[in-house]
Amino acid sequence: MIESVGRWFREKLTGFSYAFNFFLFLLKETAHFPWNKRVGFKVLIMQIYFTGVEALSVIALISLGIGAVIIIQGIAILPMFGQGNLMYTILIMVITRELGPLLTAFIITARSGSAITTELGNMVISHEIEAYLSIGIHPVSYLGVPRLYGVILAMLFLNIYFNLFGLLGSYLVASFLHDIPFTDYLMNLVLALTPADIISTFLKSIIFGFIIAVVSIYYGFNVNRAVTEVPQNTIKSIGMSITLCIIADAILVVVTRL
Amino acid sequence: MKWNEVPVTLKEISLVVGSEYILDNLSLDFNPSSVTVLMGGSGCGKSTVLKAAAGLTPLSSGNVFYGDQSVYGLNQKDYARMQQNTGFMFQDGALWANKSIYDNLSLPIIISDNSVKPEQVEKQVMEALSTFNMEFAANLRPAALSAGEKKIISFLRAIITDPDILFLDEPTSFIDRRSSLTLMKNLFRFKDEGRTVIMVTHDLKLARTLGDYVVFMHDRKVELKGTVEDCSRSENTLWRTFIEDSQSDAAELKG
Repeated sequence: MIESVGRWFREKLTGFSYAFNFFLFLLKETAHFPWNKRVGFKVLIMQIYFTGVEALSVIALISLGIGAVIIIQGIAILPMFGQGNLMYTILIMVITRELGPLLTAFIITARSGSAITTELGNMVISHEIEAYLSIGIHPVSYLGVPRLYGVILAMLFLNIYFNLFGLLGSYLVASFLHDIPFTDYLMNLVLALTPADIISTFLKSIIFGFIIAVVSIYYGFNVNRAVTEVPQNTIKSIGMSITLCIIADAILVVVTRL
Repeated sequence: MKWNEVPVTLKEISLVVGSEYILDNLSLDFNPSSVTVLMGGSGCGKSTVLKAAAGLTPLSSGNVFYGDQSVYGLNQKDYARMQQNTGFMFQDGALWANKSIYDNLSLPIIISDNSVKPEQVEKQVMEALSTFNMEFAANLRPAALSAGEKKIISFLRAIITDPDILFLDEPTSFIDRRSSLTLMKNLFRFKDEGRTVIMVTHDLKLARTLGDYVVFMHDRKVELKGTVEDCSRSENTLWRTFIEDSQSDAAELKG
């Protein structure tokens, strides 16, 4: 019993130490990347394209839907309490500060995070990672770091898209049901928007993008020998990314509201 | 220092996966400027030893030295430089699936020489492909090639930067006779130029024709090591059985 607890503890400690060293190495290589971009640049562009561009339609649909629902519900309910103007604050609060970054993070986790873990895991199994080592390329620098930059940049862009579609596009949906002058709508939105909202949404995008990329890359490289490890690690990577994003979101909300 | 002028030494290396010992305290020297053939039955640890010697497998303990330079103790920059002076042909090809054959061959050139011009890269890649009449494959992805063609590309990727040390994992398996001869011609060139070649093979003919030294492994241990001539005279039972099995298999197939 004591022996198995000891073994479990030792394995956890080794795993944590490996993850921590991996994280430090990834950070170091991330800092070096701008000066070492010759071969990794193409990987970066491909990652931005896959994560940022190909996810646009999903992001647009979700943000349009959520924005429209908030406007329609807000116009129907808030005036009953004499708080019609709060609709714009709620829109900013929900779309810009909270759901924008968080839903974008969930979509990126499901689409790109899982794809990164699967791709890297399969490359480990097919010895492609060893092949990179054999020609003098460190796979974390060449495959991991551009993906990290790509996911963070794509996360930032997608969050901006989410806000554009959620705040402006949804107006078009709502205008079919209610008569709202666009200039009034826009002016009220701008008045409700504070610098803190903008800083908060960008900060969250960067932090969530960082979390998703690091977790997905780590679990991808952490595949050892068996093909069956690839889906297992992908599931772990998705679960861990979502959990860490929610924890980070909670911490950021508390910090920015203090 | 040229890496082919110094011996490759495996010193007390162990590799443990889970609770299983893949290699246990194994020590072995590979002579410089010579061709060493690693032989043995399937699963005896030849490929693991080859990867360990090439610095591609993280070891549980022990170290690998090129001369007196510890391979696993190198910093990232020196490790990369060392790898650029060695070539590794993988048993299953290990080509990068999301790159074209051209990119698979051009990346090692670009990495080893930052200032190389694109025209020079193209010339080098197309010349390499032409030695095996495979120019048609330049724009294909590895998935479009047969197992033999993948091995040829893996071989070309290993030699395209003209490395000092060449590691080959079953170089002639899956490859047709004509390509096999072309591959051997290339290996003879490496041998004549005094490069160090370490290869795993089950091909007795290749071992006899090309090898200077033989390392015979059994049950993840080195059972026999010596020159090809010494080994051919050895009375080691396991070695003799291995040779007889290989020869009788060939005879049975012919008969």
